[in-house]
Amino acid sequence: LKKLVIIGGSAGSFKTMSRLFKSLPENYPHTIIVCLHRLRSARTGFTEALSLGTKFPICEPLDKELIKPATAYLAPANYHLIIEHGYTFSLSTDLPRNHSRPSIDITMETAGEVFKEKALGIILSGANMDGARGMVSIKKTGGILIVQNPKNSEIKTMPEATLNLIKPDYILDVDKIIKFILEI
Amino acid sequence: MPEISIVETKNVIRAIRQQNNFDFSNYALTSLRYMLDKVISEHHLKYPDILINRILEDPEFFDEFLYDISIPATEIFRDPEMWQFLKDDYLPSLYEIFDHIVIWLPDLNDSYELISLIILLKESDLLRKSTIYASSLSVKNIDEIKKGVFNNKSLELGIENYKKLNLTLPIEHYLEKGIVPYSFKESLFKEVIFFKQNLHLEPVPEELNLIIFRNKLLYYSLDFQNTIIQHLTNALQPDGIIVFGHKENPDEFINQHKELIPLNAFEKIFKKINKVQFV
Repeated sequence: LKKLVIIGGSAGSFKTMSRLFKSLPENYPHTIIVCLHRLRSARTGFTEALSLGTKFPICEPLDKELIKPATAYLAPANYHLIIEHGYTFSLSTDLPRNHSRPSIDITMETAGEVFKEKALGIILSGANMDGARGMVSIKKTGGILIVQNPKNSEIKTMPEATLNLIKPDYILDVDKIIKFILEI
Repeated sequence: MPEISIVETKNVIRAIRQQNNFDFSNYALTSLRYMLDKVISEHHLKYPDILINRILEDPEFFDEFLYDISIPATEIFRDPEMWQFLKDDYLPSLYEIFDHIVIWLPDLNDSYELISLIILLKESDLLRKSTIYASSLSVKNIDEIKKGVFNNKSLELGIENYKKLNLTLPIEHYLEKGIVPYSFKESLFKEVIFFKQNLHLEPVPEELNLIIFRNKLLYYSLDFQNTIIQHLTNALQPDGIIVFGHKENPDEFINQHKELIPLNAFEKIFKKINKVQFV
């Protein structure tokens, strides 16, 4: 596998994700995993909405699906998304963490353990503290961190919570985050 | 990442196998590590070695362990669309074929799936034509399920789901009055046959027509998932129905073995083929 871009966000980050996917060339080689807080009952529509205007493959993984390069995966509603050794996904209905299922922390910390220095962790706009500990895990295992500039985040709680726990490699506005992802 | 390392997890698995003949190496490793973290934290055990000592030295602790590693089903009527399909389409078709149906909910960790099914059958006046088996790894779990207790958040989510089903009676009809935390009336469980099972989902009730096994495969390795699907398929009568979780992935087994056909591919509802039809 090439690199893994793992993105966490909540309120205010959907637009950023939509812009990112519209910018991605069809042959972008890396894996992208997106864990956004979403309505637990909205089991359909999210993938379809983010797929508008892009040819890059975007899907919600099934349990134990193999992680492929050049593909974007969205954490499904009402499940935690865990990355297993052996590069497969596991889903879980365990209790919410930080009031969230999917929990960004769980996806990031398990992704960091498997992908190590190949992981690029990104925290976008959001309204709670989920993701901050996950970013710490990614750093511990050698990954790179980007936090959206809180000054230009629609909701700054999530980026600020991360900055309170760890110094990221970069604090960037959305345009530069997208540019960074495209150029790795 | 989970606190417990892979090596420590394998030591715990070995200790359990040695003492209790339960093989947790069939579980998805990282998921299992989170479950073990939970047990270690809830029992203030500090280190995995202390957990191993408890497992080896305290036989009564093992049932507690099985209770604590269990993952809840999140809410009553989770994925209400699935329950609607079951009520409107698949249950009526089963009762058209059989006068009486036998239902099994294996590996239950709480009362949510069971209570959802019972309410659905009561609403359709089919409970009297059904036998329901419910099994769990731990005796403590079974005792807790029978109490029907659940927290405020679950009730909130359950009411939201319940409203989508357009059932005739309000959910309060099924609740004990004035008791907090909330609980379902114990009388709802009086016809359910509870029993303790092992990791291989044994023993198996006979003459099964419906198995509800949603979001349980998730915690197994892919190989063991296929073993369990085969086991459950064998237990099912021809024309019987089995329901998995909508993000579970029984497709590899189904494509290879051709014993189950999808009734609803999105909700992962399958019917066992009646081979007599092809004679």
